[in-house]
Amino acid sequence: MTEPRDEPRDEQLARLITDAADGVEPTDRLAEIRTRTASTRRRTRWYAAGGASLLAAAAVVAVALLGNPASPGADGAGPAQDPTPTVTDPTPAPSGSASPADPPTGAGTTTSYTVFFVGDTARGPRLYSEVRDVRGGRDLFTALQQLETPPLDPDYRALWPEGSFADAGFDGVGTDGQLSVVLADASLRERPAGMSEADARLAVESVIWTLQSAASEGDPLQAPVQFYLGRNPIDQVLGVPTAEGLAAGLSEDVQAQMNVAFPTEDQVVAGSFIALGRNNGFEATMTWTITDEAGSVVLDGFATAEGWGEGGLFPWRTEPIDVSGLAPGRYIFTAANDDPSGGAEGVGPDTDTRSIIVE
Amino acid sequence: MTHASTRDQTVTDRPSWSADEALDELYAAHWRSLVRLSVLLVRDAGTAEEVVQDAFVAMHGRWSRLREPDKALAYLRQSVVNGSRSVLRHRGVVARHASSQLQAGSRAGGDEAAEALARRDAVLEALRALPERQREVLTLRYYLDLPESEIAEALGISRGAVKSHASRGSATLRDLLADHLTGDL
Repeated sequence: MTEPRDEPRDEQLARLITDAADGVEPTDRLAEIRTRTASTRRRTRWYAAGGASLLAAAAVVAVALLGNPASPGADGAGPAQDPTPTVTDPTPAPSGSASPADPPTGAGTTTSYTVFFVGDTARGPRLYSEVRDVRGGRDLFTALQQLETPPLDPDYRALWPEGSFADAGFDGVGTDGQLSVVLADASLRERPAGMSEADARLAVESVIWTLQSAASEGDPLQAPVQFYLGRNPIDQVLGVPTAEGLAAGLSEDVQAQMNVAFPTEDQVVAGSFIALGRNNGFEATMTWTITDEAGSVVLDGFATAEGWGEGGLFPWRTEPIDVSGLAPGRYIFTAANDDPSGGAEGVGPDTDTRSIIVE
Repeated sequence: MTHASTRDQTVTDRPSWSADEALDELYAAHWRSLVRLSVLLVRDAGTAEEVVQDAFVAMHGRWSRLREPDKALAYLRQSVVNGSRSVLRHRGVVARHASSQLQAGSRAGGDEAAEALARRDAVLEALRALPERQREVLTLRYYLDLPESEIAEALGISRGAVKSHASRGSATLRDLLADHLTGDL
C-alpha cells in the first residue's frame, strides 16, 4: 500500500490512535440511512402484484421504521428526516415517478431495469429477475430488448429470440393508459415447436412484468399490456391469447418465490459480503448455504425478510458473510425458502443459486 | 444446478451494484471504520455517526457517477473528513465524552480497563488539541494507514504539505502523550 517515498509511520503513535478508535463501537444506523435514501430508490422497490400487496408492503416498511426510531443525535441537530412517500402514503399509485433526487436522463446516465427470465422451481417454471444497467435514460423499448439477451445466471433462460420486438410505449398519463408492445415478427404468433405451454405463458408474462417494471422508477406501473403486430392488436402470442390488454399474473403463480439480487453470477468476493434478494417464504425465513465444488456445505446461515404471506416478494439481506476462512476458488451460494410445512402453507421451498468466486 | 466451470463466461471482478446495493455493501464493510475515523476528528461518537450517515446518504445519491466501490470509498472518506471539519466549525461540538463512547473499555472492569479507558481518552483529547490539518493527516495516516498520496487527494493539499503536517502533528502528539508512550500497549 504505502509508496516507497512515504515517511515511515510512527508505529507507537499509530497503535495509540488505532486503539483509541477501536474503543468506539458504533450503533447500527443502516435503517435510518435507508429511510433517507428511500425516495431515490428504484431497484429494490421491485414487484408486488396487486394493490393489496403494495399496501401490505408499505405497512411492513412503516413498522420497520417505527422499530428504529431516530437515535439521539447531538443536540437534536441531526439532519432532517425525509421519509419516503410510500411509507407515509398508503395509496398504491406509482407516486415515485418524479423524485427530485433522480439524475437527469440523457447522455452519461445509466438506468437500471429489472428484467424477468424463466427458471425452474419445484413447482414448475417461474420468473426470476435480474437487474441490467443500461446507458441512457429510461426507455421501454430498451427494457424489452434486455429480454432478448442471455441471462447472467445459466439456470435461467431467455425465451425471446433476438429481434422479437420492434417497439414499446405507453399511451397514457400517470397510471391511466395502456402499455404497448410491437412484435417484429409475425411468426411469434405461434408457439414454436419445443416450447412448452407453461414457458409460452411465462414468456408473455415476462414481457408484462418487465414492461410494467420499466415504466416506473418506483413501484411497477399497473397498466394493461397490449401486444401489436404492426399497427394492429394481435390475437395471440406464442399461442397465448392476447386480444385484450393483459394484466400481470399473481406473484405466487408467476414468480419464483426466492430471488437473489446479490451476489450476481460469478461475483468475486473477498473478506465478507452481504447477500441481498427478495423472497416470500414461511415466516419470512430464508436460509442460505455456500457449497464448495465437491458439493459440501462450508458455510450456512439464515436471514429474515421484511414480510411474507399475501402476494409479492419481500426484501431480505443477510448479515455479513465471512468468507475469509475459505480457500480461494469457486463456490455455490444457494438461497432457499424455509418449508416446515411441506408446501401446505402455499409457499414452496423455491431456491436460487449463484456461482461465486472467493479470492 | 449451477456449474460455472462448464460455462464460458468472462469473470467480472467489479460488481454492477445499484445505489441501494452499493449502500448495503459499503455500509457493511466500512461503517464502523468510518465512524471511528470521524470520532478521532470530532471526539463525540453520536456526532461522528451523524457525519458518516450523511456521507453514506450523499454517496448513495452520487452512486450513478461513482459506479466503483473504490471510488465510492474514497468519496466516503472525503465526505467524512469534510463533514467532521464542518461540524467542528459550525456546531461548536461540546465534548461529551467517555461515558457514551468508550463503552468497549468499560466492559472489562478492573484497573487495566480503567487504564485503557484513560489512555483512549487522553489520545482523543490530544488529537483535539492539534490544529485541524494535522489532526486530519494523522488520523488518515495512522488509523486508515493511507499512503501520503491518497491523503493529499482526500484533503486537497500537496503531498509535501501532508509530510509537514504529519511530522509536526506527530511531534506534538508525542509530547502530549508522553505518559502513554513509555509502556507497551
